[in-house]
Amino acid sequence: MIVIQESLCKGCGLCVKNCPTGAIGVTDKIARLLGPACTSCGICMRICPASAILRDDSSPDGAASCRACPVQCAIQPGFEGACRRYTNINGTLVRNRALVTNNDYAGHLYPEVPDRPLITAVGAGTEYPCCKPAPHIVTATIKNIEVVTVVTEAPLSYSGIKVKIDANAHIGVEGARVFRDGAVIGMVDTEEYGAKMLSIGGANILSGKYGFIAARTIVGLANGERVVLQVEKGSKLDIAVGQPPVIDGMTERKMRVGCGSATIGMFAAALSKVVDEAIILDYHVIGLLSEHRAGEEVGMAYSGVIPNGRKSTRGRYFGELGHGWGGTDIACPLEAVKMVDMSLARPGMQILVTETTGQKAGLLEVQPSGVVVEIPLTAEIQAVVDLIAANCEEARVSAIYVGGTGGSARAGVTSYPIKLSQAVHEGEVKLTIGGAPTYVLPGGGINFMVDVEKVVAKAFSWVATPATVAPVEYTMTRDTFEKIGGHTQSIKSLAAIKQDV
Amino acid sequence: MIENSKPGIVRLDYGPMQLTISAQDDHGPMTPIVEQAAHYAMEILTEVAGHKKIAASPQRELGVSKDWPEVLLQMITAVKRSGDKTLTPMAAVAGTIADLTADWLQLHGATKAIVNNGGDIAVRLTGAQTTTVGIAPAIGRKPTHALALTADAGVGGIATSGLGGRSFTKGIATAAVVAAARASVADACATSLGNVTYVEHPAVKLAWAEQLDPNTDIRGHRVVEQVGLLPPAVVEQALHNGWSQAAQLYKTGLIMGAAIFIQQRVVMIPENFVTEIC
Repeated sequence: MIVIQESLCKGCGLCVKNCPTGAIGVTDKIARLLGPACTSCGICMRICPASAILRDDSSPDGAASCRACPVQCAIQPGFEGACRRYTNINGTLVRNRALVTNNDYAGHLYPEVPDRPLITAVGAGTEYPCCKPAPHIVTATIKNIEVVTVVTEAPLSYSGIKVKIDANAHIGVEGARVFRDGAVIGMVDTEEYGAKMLSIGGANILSGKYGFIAARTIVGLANGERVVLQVEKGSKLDIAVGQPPVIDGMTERKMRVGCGSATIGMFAAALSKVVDEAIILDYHVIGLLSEHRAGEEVGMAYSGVIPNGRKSTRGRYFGELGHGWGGTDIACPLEAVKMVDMSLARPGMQILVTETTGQKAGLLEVQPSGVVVEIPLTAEIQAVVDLIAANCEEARVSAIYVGGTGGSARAGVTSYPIKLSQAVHEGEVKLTIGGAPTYVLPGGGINFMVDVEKVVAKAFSWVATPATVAPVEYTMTRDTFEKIGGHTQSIKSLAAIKQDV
Repeated sequence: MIENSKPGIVRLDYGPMQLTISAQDDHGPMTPIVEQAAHYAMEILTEVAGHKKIAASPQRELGVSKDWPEVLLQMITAVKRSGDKTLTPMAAVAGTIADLTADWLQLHGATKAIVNNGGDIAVRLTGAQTTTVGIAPAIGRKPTHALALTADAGVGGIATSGLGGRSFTKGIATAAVVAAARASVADACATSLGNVTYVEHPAVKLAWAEQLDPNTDIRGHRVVEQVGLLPPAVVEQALHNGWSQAAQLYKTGLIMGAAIFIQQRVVMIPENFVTEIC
């Protein structure tokens, strides 16, 4: 249960703002629990700047202990958990929303439009200014339906590239600037699962002081060239799409199987057979086997080992980011243990320390004095570490080119550009880039994303406006083409075009 | 050479090691046990001597072996946990021998055991037992400060590193004193803190470690040979270097306190870690 120590409370009300169930109020400048809505989720305890809130092991009478996530709320009858998803109905926790079986938006709306263009725009060239029809407007009959593909190599001043770097190593804080040869060409974007993200280019950088080098970088990366970048107060990145990333001179080989807690969750049974305790180091969450719910599930009890991190929930700890094991600042197995509570631990206990990639591993042994020493890994423990490693994907660099097709790239199709935009959003017109499928962002404009590795090789270039040039293809039925006001006078047959090639 | 001066206290002079061992249980001094502990300490030193080469290796060259004695494993643990990659396991040898001897005494029933290995002290207190450790501002000087300990404090070791001691320092501190749960960790961290108190100044004379001792474990490292009179700003800078590192170690919980002495000045963490003796 949550206990508020009134003598320490400063009445700031941060707990009131953060409490997910509205269970805390401030009266007479002191935070107080308002009734049975509190689930002991611990948010108040974790955010209280005065450390005035504690949680003891007790639970209110009649409360049901939720096991749907590591928070383990104690939910009183009639009330919901901190997530508002489960309700205690007469002692049973029930998901308070019925299973939804259908989504009306699902399914293909225009199956008659082929997924691939009749020709790609790679090598098509550009017609300038915008009012001229696109370089090629091609028609052919596919499955008894006449299809039109319009192609152009479009200079896009609204363009950039999102680079995904599969890596555990900390490369720099989100928002940090990214330099190439001293020029600012982008920034570190929000992290994705197992991967660091860079956002490079974009209209403002392209039209700014470093636009040319930014355009060269976007195109270089999109075409699979090797590029060296420097993150502000962070790492030096030596990257090429499709290749493992080299971060500060170290090649990242494996992508983590999950965070430290997830790794414990997946391999608890195998780990529990070979060691008394396991610490899985990870920059996001460090897992501690015996204390973790998964450890309990396979019959373990908390060992007394205290790992080097801030406790989040049971068996889950936060570490410091760094260049050590698992992307933490821990440089060796011995640093992974803060201390051992010898009232719980027994001498001879063996602690495995490894990473979420299973690339590095060490074994520690608890001495009678509570000191841990490093001992050699046994073959059976190494086998479990290898099992973790075998379940990790190869770390690689990938990239998504992001662009917006505005004026020139639309007027070459139709005299009513908005009709093209609407038809693309509707799905009647399929947009491909160098033959590769795109994802068109919702809302206005034709803002698309494309996996550069699915685009025809070396398909991107840049012009000195500066803008990057992308091969843009619009494919639709002839009926749609006419309906949106397409330049029908410029249509040529696919056979005729192929003859010229 | 084992010398029994007072009940429950033994002085051991054995090669490079000078130990003062004392122990008592609820009935009083444990003289025969303390004498046995002295023999045990000599055995440990012999074990270290048998693995001298590994003990003097840089951390990055250390492997892991089943055949290594506990003393060596604990020395490795201490230097690695200090986070200071420049230390070899030898940086924790004195504290580790003190620890193991004190552990042995505790195992044999001592409720209070103190093993002083040339300034690196292991303390084991149980129940209501207390002790006070004198802290000297420089090696060979009389204590000016004191650290009072109870069983609850969790301090198992106090170590001092500084200029003019048995081992080299890369800094100008006359004493870097550290308290930790184990003397081995205190020893390694004291060495590390002493080393960071370096500031470049013409009055700070450096030498290669092997020039001063051909058998050193830190060949190729520059150590401080002599320090002349320094301007206050230089002393402050050196103190600050030491304090910053100490604050880092204190924050992680690895050490329970540190005091750094340079030319009549002292800084410490936490505040009032040691108290001045009137």
